[in-house]
Amino acid sequence: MYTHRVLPGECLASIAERYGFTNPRVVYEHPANEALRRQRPDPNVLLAGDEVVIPDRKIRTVSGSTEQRYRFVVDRQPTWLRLRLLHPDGTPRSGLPYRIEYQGQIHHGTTAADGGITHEVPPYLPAAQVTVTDGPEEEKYQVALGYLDPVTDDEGLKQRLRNLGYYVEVPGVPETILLQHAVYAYQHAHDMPPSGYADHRLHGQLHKDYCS
Amino acid sequence: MTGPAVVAASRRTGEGDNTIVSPPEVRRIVVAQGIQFTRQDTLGLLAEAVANGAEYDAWYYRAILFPEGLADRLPGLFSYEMDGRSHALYLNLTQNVLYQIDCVEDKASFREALLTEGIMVIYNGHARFGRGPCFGPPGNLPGDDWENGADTEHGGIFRMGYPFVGIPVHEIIGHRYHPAPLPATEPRPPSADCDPELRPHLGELRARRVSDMHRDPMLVEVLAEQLGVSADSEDRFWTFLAVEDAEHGLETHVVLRAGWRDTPTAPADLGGTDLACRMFCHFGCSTFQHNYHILRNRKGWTRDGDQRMAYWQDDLAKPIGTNIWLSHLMTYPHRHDWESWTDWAAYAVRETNRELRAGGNHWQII
Repeated sequence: MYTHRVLPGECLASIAERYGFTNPRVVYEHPANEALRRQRPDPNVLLAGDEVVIPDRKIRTVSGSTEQRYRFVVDRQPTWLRLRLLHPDGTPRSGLPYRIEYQGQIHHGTTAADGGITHEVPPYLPAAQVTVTDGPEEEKYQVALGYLDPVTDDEGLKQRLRNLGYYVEVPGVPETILLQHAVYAYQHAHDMPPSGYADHRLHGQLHKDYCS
Repeated sequence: MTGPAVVAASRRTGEGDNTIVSPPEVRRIVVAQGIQFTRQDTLGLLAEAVANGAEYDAWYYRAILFPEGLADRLPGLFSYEMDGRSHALYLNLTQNVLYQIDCVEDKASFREALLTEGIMVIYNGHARFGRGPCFGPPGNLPGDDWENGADTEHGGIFRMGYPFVGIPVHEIIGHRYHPAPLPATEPRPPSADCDPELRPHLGELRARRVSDMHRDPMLVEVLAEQLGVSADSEDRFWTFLAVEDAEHGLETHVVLRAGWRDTPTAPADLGGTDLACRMFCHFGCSTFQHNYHILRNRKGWTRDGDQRMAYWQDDLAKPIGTNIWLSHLMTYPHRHDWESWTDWAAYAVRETNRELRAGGNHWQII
């Protein structure tokens, strides 16, 4: 067994892929990772510095005769780029043409009824550009895959609040003020006593709203 | 949206999503508080009213305070202090607009705001009989901050009025500033160059010595020093008699040079400032009569669609209008990110004036 220290941009899918596992759950659910599971209930959202125990790979021996055909099923867990586009009032931005570009590939589609974009990507893919056409406007998103931190971390809190439209960069205003405002505005919008400071209740609501 | 926006997301291997909401437009508003209306001044008045149990006064002073008065109207307002100034942020999810409101209290910051592209600038304070927005330190102290400024860059009047105004002597004596009276050796000012409140008196202008301007010899001494002559000087200035308020009754008014271009405070005057802001609101008393023509016609800062917008007050007013105006702008009930400001401002004018009327006020925003 080997202990892997998580780097920025990594998630269990990319780590498993790196060590030759086609299904990241094999790694995540290994008994040696019990502490990790308690700390990070979502294997797709890890924090740089987390430790993941990589189990030894088991070599499976299969006997068979020549001139025969055998079917082997790979225990594989696909990795997805999943986005859900919403209007500020929470209604889905459905039926919008989009384009996903990465590593020289271009894929086209239309956002689903819930505003969703779902596209299978390689587990190690670090970034993709998503372009959404809404009327005459084109919106471009540089999606940094694997870089979403846990909601309990300040950066993860900020990332979710930014993606939900609460945290906005304002020239001349320090990040700490902007984050405090974003938390305050989110609390106010969700009928929580606005304090500007995150707590369990906010983490839970934000996780639910953001969907990861 | 300008892009691409960088979005941190999780790769998904099962349930879950990354929810992306269109980011709000950031709209900046600078509120410039004039002399005698600084935060410290108003806090002092509020404390005094509370100590005296003067409920209406306490309500009023809190209502005009920034950010407290605005926060009372907008519970989601987030306020903070930075660099000794008051600031606020307010996210309206219906509009999808994040408001950034910065309060400044000096002339240089006011001018800098006017020079900033795309923002709204509000002046809240004295109109100085039409001479222009006026700035000074807290304390309502007498001195030249009521005219050109003890430090012309940071204090005093940002001149944006007609070249000549008529000012009652009690105002000059009371504030102890050094104005530029029009000597009677010069011709009477042409009507077109006079503030509308001076024009009806042009036929009554009389050349008076300073000793003829006030019946109290001690105050004549004071006034003479301020006008730059000796009390027994035979120099004469253009003046007229009029009633400015009931307390002072009929009194001498002195014709002063006011102007808006190449003034002693240049470039901190309208003539030296190429306004780049998107909207300018001059919420001093009767600013429509005093300053509209100067800004729009003489300066040539004409409206262009929803750019170069300007709003004024049409009569003697109290500074309560600014927080009312802001709150209606910030609660416009429609999505408004990257939209034209025309309907938004029209809504705020209508709602502010409706509220002012309901509160028994006789002035409005136009």
